[in-house]
Amino acid sequence: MSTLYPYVDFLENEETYLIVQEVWSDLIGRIAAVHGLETVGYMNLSQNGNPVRDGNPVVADKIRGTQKGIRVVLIDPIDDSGSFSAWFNNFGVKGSDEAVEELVLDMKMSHATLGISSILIELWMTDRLTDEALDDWLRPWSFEEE
Amino acid sequence: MQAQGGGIEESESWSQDKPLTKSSGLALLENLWNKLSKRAQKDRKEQFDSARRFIENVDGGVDAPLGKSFVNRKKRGVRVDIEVLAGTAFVLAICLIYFLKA
Repeated sequence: MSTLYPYVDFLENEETYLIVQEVWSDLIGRIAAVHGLETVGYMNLSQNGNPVRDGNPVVADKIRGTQKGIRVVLIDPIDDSGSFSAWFNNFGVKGSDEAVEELVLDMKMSHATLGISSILIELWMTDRLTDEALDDWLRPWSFEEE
Repeated sequence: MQAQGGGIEESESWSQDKPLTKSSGLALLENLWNKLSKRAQKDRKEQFDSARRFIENVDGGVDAPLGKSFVNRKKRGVRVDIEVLAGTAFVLAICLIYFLKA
């Protein structure tokens, strides 16, 4: 559907992974800043003292002072399955301080998926992304296999 | 642990003082698998395999908070989620064997 983003070896190359992580953190942070918001990570992406670099998730940032989060899952560019999907998820015990209402974005990284992600993230941060709206945005990307 | 999408929403959860062991985690995943219909299992077979591999390959446990999604990208919304909300999960149980000298 679109040319793959240059960093196709992010799962094998530590340096590339860090760049990709920075691209996403930066994108989410910049969109937040436009609306006077700040972001902060809400998941532990290091395990047993070592960073986990499997893309699942590559980044999980929430808007500081709110329970609204964005989790990005990146898949191997050579995977032959669909290239973009998104859904809402309640992470944590609903009503608790640690609970996060997530917009989860799952994709092969490309210029097109970065584009649609930017739009969805902005709509989500500004309370304009409903279930129906998300369905509409995903329609061009959806396909089913029996 | 949750199986989601395609009209399915099943889960298995745990709450305990000690870290959840790998074997207990795998057993919970198996319980979740057994709750699903044959059709739902078919749609999620690869995702359960990936979740199983993830638990088996954890080195030294997983510290909260962490959420992982194993997605069937050929069927919209169909996925398996693992969420660790507090503490540590998927640690290796260590059996200590004492050899007593007579």
